[in-house]
Amino acid sequence: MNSQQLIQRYLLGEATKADVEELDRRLASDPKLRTQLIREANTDAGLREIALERRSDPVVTTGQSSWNAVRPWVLAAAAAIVGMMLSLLWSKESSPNIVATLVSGEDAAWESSLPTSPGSKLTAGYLKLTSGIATVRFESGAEVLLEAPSNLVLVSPMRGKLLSGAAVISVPEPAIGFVLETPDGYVVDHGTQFAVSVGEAGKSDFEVIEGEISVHLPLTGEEARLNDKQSASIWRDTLTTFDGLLPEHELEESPPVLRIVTNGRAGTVIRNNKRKKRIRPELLMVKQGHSEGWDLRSFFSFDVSNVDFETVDSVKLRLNLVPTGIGFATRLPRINRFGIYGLTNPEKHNWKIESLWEEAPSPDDGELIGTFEIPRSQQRGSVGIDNRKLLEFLQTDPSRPVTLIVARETGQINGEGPGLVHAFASDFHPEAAGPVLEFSLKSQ
Amino acid sequence: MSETEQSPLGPEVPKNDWASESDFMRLIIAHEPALRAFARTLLPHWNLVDEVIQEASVTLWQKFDQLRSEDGFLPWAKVVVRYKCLSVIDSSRRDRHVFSDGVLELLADEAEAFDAEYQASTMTALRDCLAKFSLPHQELLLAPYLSDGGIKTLALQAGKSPNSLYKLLGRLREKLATCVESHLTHEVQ
Repeated sequence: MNSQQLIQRYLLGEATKADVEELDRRLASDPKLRTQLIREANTDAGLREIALERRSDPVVTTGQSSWNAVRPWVLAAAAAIVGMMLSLLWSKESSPNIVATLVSGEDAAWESSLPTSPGSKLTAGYLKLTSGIATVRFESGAEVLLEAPSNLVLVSPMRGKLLSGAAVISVPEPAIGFVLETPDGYVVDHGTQFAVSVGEAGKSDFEVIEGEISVHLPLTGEEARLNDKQSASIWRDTLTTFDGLLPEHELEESPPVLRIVTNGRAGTVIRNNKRKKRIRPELLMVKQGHSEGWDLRSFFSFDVSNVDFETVDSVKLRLNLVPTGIGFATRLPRINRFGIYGLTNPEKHNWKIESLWEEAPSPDDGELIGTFEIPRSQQRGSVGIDNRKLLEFLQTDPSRPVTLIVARETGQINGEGPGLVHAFASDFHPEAAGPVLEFSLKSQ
Repeated sequence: MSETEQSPLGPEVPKNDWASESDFMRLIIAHEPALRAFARTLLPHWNLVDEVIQEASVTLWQKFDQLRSEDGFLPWAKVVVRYKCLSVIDSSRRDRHVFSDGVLELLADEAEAFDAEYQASTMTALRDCLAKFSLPHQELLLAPYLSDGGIKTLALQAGKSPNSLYKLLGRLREKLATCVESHLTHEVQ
């Protein structure tokens, strides 16, 4: 057997004891062969990485792309450190079972750990269609025409779950009995074409275009059979049926929200204080790099003196990510983490918009309130935090404007060229809105 | 854990002058493929590699505050991984097909010289090369990593013996290796 064959057998775990001894003898005397083995081991490691990438994660998550979408075993390493049992995520691979095929897309853009090119075979997992229209055919034959923005979970060839968005489902004979779940209920198809839409608050509407479906509300055990041109809606514990199709959609009643903006009170500082080279009023920029001079952080304040916290249920800080065109995303780790800090140092309360790096509020002047993550591939969209800590921090001294600081916690990876500068829109941005606090008020 | 909460590493983290737990996570993520490839050179099976990398990352984390600069991370981590590999081999030498001590030392020394960039360009070359294979062949090339029964399941589906598939796989891997090799030498020129 030639050395190359021996190496392959060894790496595949197929080598006998005699094979390994023979390879060992050859390696001892042949430096070139050792180099070859090292290279082959690198290739083997790469192949494994690709194999795990392509395998879709059987654990369905509704979060945005997170650690487990990137490299399950890194999660496991982190988990070992904190003693958590997340290593279960990658403990044993199961051979992938195909649940559906992505048939086609019109201007479809996805966020998913599943493959998203037309023709892709999909295993159980989570698909988020961010724009366009796409058709997913379950292995049973049930076809789902999905409209963005929507979130679909592929459970099995006979079962899917629409978490949000709109879809038209066509079920041919062999797929009769196909089940589509929505947040509060599910529908069983008895051979038909029907439309479903799930609103942001979780209300779902079903309309039979042709055929028959049954709509179920597990909470109360209610069910309704619908035929041609009949419709139903489920929201929380109520199932309502209608004759005829639903009227044109009205905007859903949403809980009252109070929005507070910064009114221009926002700024960015740069470590080398060369403000003219980089700082622009419409961008709140953040960066952490190797050449420290170009590091950036931003801060902004809100006047919450008019907020009646008694009536506030929860609060969300929303920032709108906008591209800067500065630096290379490929110099960043795949997932970038950002921290939001609340300013506590009284000496920094009277900051100026155009400050020096040393004078401006920094993470060291405050406490960490929350973090969020952005994949390096993403340069637009809404991000932010919504936790109890933010609500508590805003209430500490409502008489004074509160200042929040945003900094990138992750840096760059090795390589050539400058790393990407992230930016969030300020109130002066021509397209996107500046930082906003959204208070959800208790419904009266 | 919600992504709005604090980092999973908790508040009680060792802190050196320049680095935090997010630096650690970033470095381990950036270098982990290279470390994995390094361990694979010395160990006969992926299960052992996973075990070693997990143990090593705990050690690296515990001693992270001793690291002086980012550039030193990979060489330092390789020393830790090397040590863990050798101790795993020692404890299981009797029932594993592993190389002799002398060869392991040589391999470890020589593999330490391969930097993170090498692993990154291998990855790029590999993706290009893999795309040149037919889909069934790609599936076969990736099957060994997905489950113990990967090849056997494929053999069953194709109505072939696992043995013949392993032979085919061996040939495909040789072909892939040649392609990757030529990509890498091409890149250097």
